[in-house]
Amino acid sequence: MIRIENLVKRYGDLVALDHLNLEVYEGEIFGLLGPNGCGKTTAISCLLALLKYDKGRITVFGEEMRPDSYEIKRKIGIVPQDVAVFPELSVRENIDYFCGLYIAEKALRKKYVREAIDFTGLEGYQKMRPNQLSGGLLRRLNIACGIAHKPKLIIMDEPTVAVDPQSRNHILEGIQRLNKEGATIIYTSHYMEEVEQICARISILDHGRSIATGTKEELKRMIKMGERITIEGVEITSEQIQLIRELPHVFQTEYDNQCLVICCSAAKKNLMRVLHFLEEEEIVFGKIFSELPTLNDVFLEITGTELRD
Amino acid sequence: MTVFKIYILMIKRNIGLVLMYFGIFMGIALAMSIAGSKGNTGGFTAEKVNMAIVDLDESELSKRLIEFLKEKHNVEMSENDKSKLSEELYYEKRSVVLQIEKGFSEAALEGKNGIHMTQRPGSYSGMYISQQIDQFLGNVLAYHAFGYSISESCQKVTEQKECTVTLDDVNGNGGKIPGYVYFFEYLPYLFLAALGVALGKTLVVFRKKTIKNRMMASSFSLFQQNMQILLGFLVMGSILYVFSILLAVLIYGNNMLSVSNIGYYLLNSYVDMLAALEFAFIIGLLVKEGKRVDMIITPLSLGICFLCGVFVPQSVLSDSVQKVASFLPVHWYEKVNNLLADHAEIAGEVGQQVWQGIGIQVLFLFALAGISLGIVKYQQQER
Repeated sequence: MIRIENLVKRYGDLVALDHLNLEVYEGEIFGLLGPNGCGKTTAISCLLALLKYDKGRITVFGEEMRPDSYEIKRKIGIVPQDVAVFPELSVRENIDYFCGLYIAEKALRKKYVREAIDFTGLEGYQKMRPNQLSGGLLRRLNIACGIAHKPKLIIMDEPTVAVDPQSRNHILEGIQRLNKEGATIIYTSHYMEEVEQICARISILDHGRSIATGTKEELKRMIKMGERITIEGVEITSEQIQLIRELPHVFQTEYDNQCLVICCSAAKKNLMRVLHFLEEEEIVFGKIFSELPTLNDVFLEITGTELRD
Repeated sequence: MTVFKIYILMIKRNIGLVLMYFGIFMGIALAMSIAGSKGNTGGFTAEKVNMAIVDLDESELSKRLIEFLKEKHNVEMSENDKSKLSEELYYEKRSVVLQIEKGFSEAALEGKNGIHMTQRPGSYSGMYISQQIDQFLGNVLAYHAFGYSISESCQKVTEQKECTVTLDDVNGNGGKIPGYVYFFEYLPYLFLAALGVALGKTLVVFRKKTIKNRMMASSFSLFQQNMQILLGFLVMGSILYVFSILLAVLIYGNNMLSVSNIGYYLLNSYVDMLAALEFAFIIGLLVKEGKRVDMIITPLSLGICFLCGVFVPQSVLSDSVQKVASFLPVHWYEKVNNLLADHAEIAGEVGQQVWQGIGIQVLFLFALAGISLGIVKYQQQER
């Protein structure tokens, strides 16, 4: 559905997109994950032909995307990172206006606006002005304005920034529903949990480049770490830590403030082996648990920095 | 017409500001109209002074002088009773008492004063009468110097016709300034301030980066968006224009509609309104926040109006100020307006000047449109 090839965008000396390559398939929720400033919004702006780029090619629905590709744009809905609504207009007027940019027929537009209001749960706020809405409701209005015309492709640029957990869940559930109804969604975020929760495929961006693309399982398989075992409330000597490091599949340990973190490569019975060691050494501990690697671990291992940095 | 409709709707939400400027404008225009109509423009009326004359000389010259004064004032001959005359002055029965001394005739022929004048304290009538007596005696002496007798000289002076003043009524209002002239004079302020705030402010919202991006990402072509915004400008400007003119018709009625040059007034003010629209458009393009539009428009519109002779007559502005102002369309609007106020018939050289003024304003429209396009182009390239 979307193909981005060797996209380069420069702002003076700053390279915002450095030969970016992406492909989005029809019917999927595609996540663009990366820290702030990694080029997510720039990539989206180029994709929508809002920004001129220096090099590369973008095709959407099989056609090259240009500023005047209005037939392509008709099938796209955009939910920008910053709330883009008119403060002077009510909730309903805003949705009606942005829907009206795509749908000229009044009766159909009225139906679509009503459905968008129902979808985002804004029934009780239709006559309110944006400045009377909470942050979460404002984000929902932003989404309603982007999806009211029932686009085939929805681009959501960090739609949950500064949103309370309840509204965030509402938004994420809504995105999954839109996808089930047939929309392809590009979802950008720097919240890895969100991307992991809803995206079928993910591309991790850093410094304007896609450093890894695949399903979350594929991404996690790319890295050495397969399991992280954490032991809390533990008193342990450096000799004992050294012995743990020598256990099979363990490649890294960290001990700080009575908390020991053991990183293991993917293997069966890692936790069993650690528990057996603790029993043998008669080491007392408060709590032990095992976690699979996160996308942050993927990012950390590939780039050497935390995703949240 | 999605963009157009929403643009009009948003301007309607800003209508309070337009009404505020409309109120200020109407206040100034009406106050000036009333002040103008109350002005003492009916012409000079000679004042008759109540005076008493005591003629101790009883000569030919004194009698002729008294006859001369009787034609101009309320004169009563009186006996030489000083206490009675003082009483009459005190009780304001008389403003002036003239005592023509014995030997007045001879003294006058030698250029000496033979009249004693007493006037009420604080009265300026004495000066006025004194000037008339000097004028009469001066003329008699002049004739006498040419060989005429006192009697003949006095006869000649009384026969002299007073010169008449003929008013050349070029503006068709007997020299008076009709109220609608003030209305049209202050109209640029209304257009600059009201359109600048309402339209400029709305354009700023449309140009906000987030909203602009959302609109540009839509299937509504950029050309259509711009055209509909421009249409919104033109419609709102025209509504304000028509509303203003209808209000003027309501206030000044037939007085305004019956003047032969009303068409020029309407054309001139419409062109000025278009210039104000372009001014508002440029402000909307350059200012990034709606709140700043208010802060900029108020001093800017007042400044332009003072500079171009909206609030101050152009005739009192220095040449250098007028030179600077000539780079603004309002200056040429006021110039045409002044010509229309001074001439009921627009023909010949005056007609040429009027069309020249309107033509220069039209050129300004093209220049401002060019500047707007330049700004739009520059801002697009910045992206």
